[in-house]
Amino acid sequence: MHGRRRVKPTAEAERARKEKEAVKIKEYRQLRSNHEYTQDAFEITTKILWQNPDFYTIWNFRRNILIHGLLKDAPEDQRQESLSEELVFLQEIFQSNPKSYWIFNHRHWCLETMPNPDWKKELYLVEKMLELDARNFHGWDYRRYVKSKLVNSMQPKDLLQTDLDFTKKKLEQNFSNYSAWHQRSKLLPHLLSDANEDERKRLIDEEFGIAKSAIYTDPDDQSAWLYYWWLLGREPHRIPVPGDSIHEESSVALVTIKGDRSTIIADEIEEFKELLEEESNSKWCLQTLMHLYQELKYAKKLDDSEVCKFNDEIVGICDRLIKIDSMRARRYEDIRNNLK
Amino acid sequence: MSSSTTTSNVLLIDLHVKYIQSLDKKRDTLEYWITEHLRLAGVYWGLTALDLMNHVDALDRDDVIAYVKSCQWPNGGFSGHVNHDPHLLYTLYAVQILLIEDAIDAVDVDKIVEYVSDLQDKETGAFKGDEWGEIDTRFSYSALSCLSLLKRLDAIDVPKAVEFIMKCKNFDGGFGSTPGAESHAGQIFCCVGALAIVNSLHLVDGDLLGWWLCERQLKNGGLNGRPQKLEDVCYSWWVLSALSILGKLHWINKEKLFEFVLSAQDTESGGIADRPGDMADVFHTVFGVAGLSLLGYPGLKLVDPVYCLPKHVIQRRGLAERYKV
Ligand SMILES: [Zn+2]
Repeated sequence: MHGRRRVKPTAEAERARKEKEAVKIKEYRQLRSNHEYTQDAFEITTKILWQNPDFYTIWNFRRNILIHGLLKDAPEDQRQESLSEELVFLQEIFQSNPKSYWIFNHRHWCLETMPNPDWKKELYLVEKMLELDARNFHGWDYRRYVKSKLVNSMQPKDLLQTDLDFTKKKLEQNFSNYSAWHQRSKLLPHLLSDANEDERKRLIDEEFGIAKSAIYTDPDDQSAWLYYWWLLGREPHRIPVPGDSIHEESSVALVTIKGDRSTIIADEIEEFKELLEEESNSKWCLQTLMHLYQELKYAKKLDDSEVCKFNDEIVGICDRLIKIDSMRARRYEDIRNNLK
Repeated sequence: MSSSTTTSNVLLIDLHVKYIQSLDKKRDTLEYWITEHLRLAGVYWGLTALDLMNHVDALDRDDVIAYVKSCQWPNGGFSGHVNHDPHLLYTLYAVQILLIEDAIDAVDVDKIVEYVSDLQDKETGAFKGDEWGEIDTRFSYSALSCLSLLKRLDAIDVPKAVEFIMKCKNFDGGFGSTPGAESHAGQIFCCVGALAIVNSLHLVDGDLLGWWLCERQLKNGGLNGRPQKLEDVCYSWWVLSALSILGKLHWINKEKLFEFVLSAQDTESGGIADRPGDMADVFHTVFGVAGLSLLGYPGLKLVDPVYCLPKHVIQRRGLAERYKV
């Protein structure tokens, strides 16, 4: 349904297509009429799935053939072998269908049904796959799943390090890889919770360093900015009331590892004012400045004249943003009109 | 071969109605058979688009009801087509279709409730898509929407369901498919919609998420689903519905989005594609039309952003509006 160009065929081409497809349709419909848990039926599912990997009922049928037919009462080594072959089949069919949910579903099932799944090999394979498409979210999801299985065979610390190295590599290849930034946002709180004071400081400094260098490499790219905002955190009372136990760790804590939050924000404001002098139309730099002024207003007690001064800055930035980024003008107007 | 390049700046309603009617008549194409597993979904997409365009009668009501009934299984669930396996996604589509046709009593509602509630994982509150156990916030939405439409939310553990959704929240205010998964506009629609249904929108960081969502609009007016991705008509729905539930629909440029969606119409055979120049399909047709309806395109019925059904259906059902715009 996605990315197929519209081409109007000639009458002749249309006739040829119909003839060719009539044969395939007949074949396809015959395939569907078989419902026994046999080797023949199994091979038929292979054919259908090659044509249509989203045909979920056929995947279900294929699993039932294995469970109730081919692998019923089979010895361990045969189960291992058949399901390993299944993984090879999945890998082949994945090449031409990298976005099918059902292929990954079936892979989960195979590995969890196998006597001896090789999770390290799975990690290797999925990382290979993410080399071809660094943003495939099925791939990232699958990688997280594989890691959750590796907990049994790897030290938690080594596993976190693997993740840290992998996401860093992805970001070095391309700073715009939002999936990698996202993964680091999940990883960092775990790393910090296990670390001692010095390590915590080093980790958080490094994280700010990576985000900043991405920002300076391409100030127009939103990924690093978003991550940077998260590192800086937001004042709790600017965030809607979260549920009691169900809210994730507050990121306000992250920046405080570095030092006093309001001092840091004030320094960051000066730094981005400088960046703005070189990149006067950077909407992300402007938005960040606006955000930092807002945060600073809440982060420390200000007198009325300071509040006025900050509000004037914010209004000025809003006016510039309305010109530069007119599509989102109404959002900037909302911010300007809701200043307190 | 020639590629058609004509575009139109108005919604070609008559052409789209004909296009949707023609979908069931393409049995001589392999495509028709290969997409068999989507047939029930296709009926929901087509019928919703038709109703929004004031042509709900373009599909025969009795045929539609009979077809939906033929997809129900003894366990209460519905499959994507006759003789396919039941799945939660299709169970919601079936309920939605029957509500549009005002014919929910044509099927065994208690059985549906039983099927859906059995798919909740008692430990985590998550929902499985079917007996094979895949977990995804899409299924949380399907379950909550379905039971809310049937007025049977009492059949599940709602606080647990909310707890699971909140575990899928991310650093950018968005939501992913499972805990740890990256934010994606489709998943955000599901999670924000689900939270709206159970009156839990206070858990959403509306400022941050609204901002992330409005940044999905690209220079050409179209919306993408994640940063650095291409624009696509279906995101007109996923992004807009979520913005609308959060009361921030005005944060994107309406005129530019109108232009983009209308330019993706097939001006010869009808239907809307994912982007200009591509093949139209019924999926992008309904989400294009529903997006236009949310933005108040003239001549369309209003759509409900939470349930993705015409608003009059929700009103007839006596359900409250659970969004801010
Ligand atoms: Zn799409």
